[in-house]
Amino acid sequence: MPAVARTLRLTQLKEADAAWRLLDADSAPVVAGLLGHHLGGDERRVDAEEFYERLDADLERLRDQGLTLPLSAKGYCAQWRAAGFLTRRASVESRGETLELSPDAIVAIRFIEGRAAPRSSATESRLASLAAQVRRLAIDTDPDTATRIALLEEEIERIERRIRALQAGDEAPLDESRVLERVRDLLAQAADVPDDFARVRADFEALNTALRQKIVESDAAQATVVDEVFRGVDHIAESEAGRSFGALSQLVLDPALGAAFEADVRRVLDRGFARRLSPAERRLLRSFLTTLKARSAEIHDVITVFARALRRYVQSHDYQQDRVLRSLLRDAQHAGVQASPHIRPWHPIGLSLDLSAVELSTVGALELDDPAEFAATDEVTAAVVTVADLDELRALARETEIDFDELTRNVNDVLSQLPSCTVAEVLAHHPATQGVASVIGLLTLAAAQGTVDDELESVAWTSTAGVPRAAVIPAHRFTGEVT
Amino acid sequence: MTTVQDGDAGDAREPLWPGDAGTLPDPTRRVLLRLVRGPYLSGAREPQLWAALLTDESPIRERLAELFLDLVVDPTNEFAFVRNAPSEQAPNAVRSERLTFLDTAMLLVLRHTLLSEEGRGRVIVGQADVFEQLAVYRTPDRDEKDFAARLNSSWHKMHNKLRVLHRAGEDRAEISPVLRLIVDADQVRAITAEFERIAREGSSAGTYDVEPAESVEPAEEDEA
Repeated sequence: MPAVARTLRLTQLKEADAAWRLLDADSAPVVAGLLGHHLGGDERRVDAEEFYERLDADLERLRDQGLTLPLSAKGYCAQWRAAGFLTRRASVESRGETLELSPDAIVAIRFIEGRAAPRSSATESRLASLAAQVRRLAIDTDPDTATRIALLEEEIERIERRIRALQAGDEAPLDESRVLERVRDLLAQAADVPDDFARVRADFEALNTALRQKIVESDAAQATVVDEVFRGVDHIAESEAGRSFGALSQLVLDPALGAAFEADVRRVLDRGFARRLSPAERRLLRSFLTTLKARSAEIHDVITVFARALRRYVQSHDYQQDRVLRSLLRDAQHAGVQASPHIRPWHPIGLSLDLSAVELSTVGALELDDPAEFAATDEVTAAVVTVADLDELRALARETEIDFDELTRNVNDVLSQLPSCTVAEVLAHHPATQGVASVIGLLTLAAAQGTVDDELESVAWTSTAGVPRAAVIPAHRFTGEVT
Repeated sequence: MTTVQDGDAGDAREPLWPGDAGTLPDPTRRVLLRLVRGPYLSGAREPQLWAALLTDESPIRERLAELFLDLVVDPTNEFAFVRNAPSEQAPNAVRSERLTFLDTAMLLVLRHTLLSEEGRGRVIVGQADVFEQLAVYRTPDRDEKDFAARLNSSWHKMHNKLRVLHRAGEDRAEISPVLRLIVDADQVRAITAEFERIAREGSSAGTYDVEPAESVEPAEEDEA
């Protein structure tokens, strides 16, 4: 039966647990790879818009490698958020929002990465530290003072033995490979600590929401919560998450401990073996306490803000108004649904909203266009105005336009001597004064008002540049006076 | 609030520009302009202006009153804004915007969201979430695409005209904390009454299915 119960419990867990969901997903390598890289390192919180950009660039590169990734970064982030891998928060620095890994996703990604680079967990150092911890627990929990003293004296005895051995030169420092193994083991444990902070923060947020909901929504519980908040019980700090976080942050913020820790880290990094650590590992070791301090201060802020807001909320009796407003809003929305079949969505209703801004529109805001802003650098010379010469204008017009008046005159002149004539015949009597433009003009006239013969004829003209030209064209014939 | 320093503000000061007739110090004037321009002054976002407001609240209040404006300060949530002086005779200094049915419905959704999520600090909503909640207002005879377009137009109105939403990333918007005060219980009651009237009269007369839209008497406006 226990096996059955356990299986059922795990089946339930599989449904609810985001970490499991991530491991189970087909896209787990993509999720763990991308999110682990961008949000699992030193930078744990990134501006959403910026994150989309970075992710899109990576997705593009992955597509080039032949992976099928149909969505955009934004689309994936929406999916991952819905799946509980990402958490979205209002940014402290900017107007927008930030994205970070959810505590569950951190666990899953860490597991996947652990598989990618397995560390031997049964190390000598782990066993040693385990033994030390068990011993410490044994000492600290012993109810009999005499035994505790005896155990501590045993410890002193052991240390003195070691000092004597060192003085006699019997004990050599640890060899490098064993030291490195110890350091890496330490780093692995240290890496887990900031991740715990994410969980603590998530716990606080859930707690805050639950308390608020309790206050606003349920009559019975509200009385007790309100009562307790009034009695000064800091509900959040007294919670399990709050207490364990309090102990940790006290230790982190203890200046004596901090100084000693940092001095030790510096000493360790000065040793010869430290050269064999990667820059990232060295940085992690050096910045460990600073990171912890920053994260712990941040969570402190969150708790303080929540606690203060909660107390104020209760004390100001805002919650009573909110309770009323909540039910009023529900009524209004219900009435809206009833009204919706009878009114078009864009139809104004008989209400207006007073805005909290005055529209500033004064003629004083008009700014005259100042030509001096675009001052010409060259000296402006005034053009001398003279009376236009009509012939010159006509000549200018003739350069750009076909002179149909002239062509019509020419055609009609030839037709006064012959019953009909072709374009070539017109040109024989009146040479093309505008070169090819005259020929085209005649052809246009003939096409519109004359006929086209079956045979071909040759037309000749002199171009405006003075070069003789000829062309063979279907004979176009004028049969009557053109206009 | 800080009446001791108020006398300070009235003192003759170095003019800020040639021909400057003002008597208030530079930061106080900035507060004044910020308030008049709207939509609100946020203590979290503009701490310096906020400090200036707290220092010189009474001369600022005075100057605003000269413009028939009433100053609303929420010291807990740290924001301030102006509204029309609560007097029948006073001219309306701030604009008021006629609300369409969908605008009103959207305002209610936003107010509701603000109410339930305020405890966490700034409240940011997604356009899609808001639209989804408003889907109940689309009657079966209403074209889906057309309705979506109307929703879009209301969403933009919330940004540009009513200014109760501020952009926070693509398709995401922060709900202005001012909404707390401009959509209060009285306003919500007036909205409910109006909706009920529409449901009652609409079903008998059916007048609301006709465009153009300018047929509603603003009889209940004073109530709001």
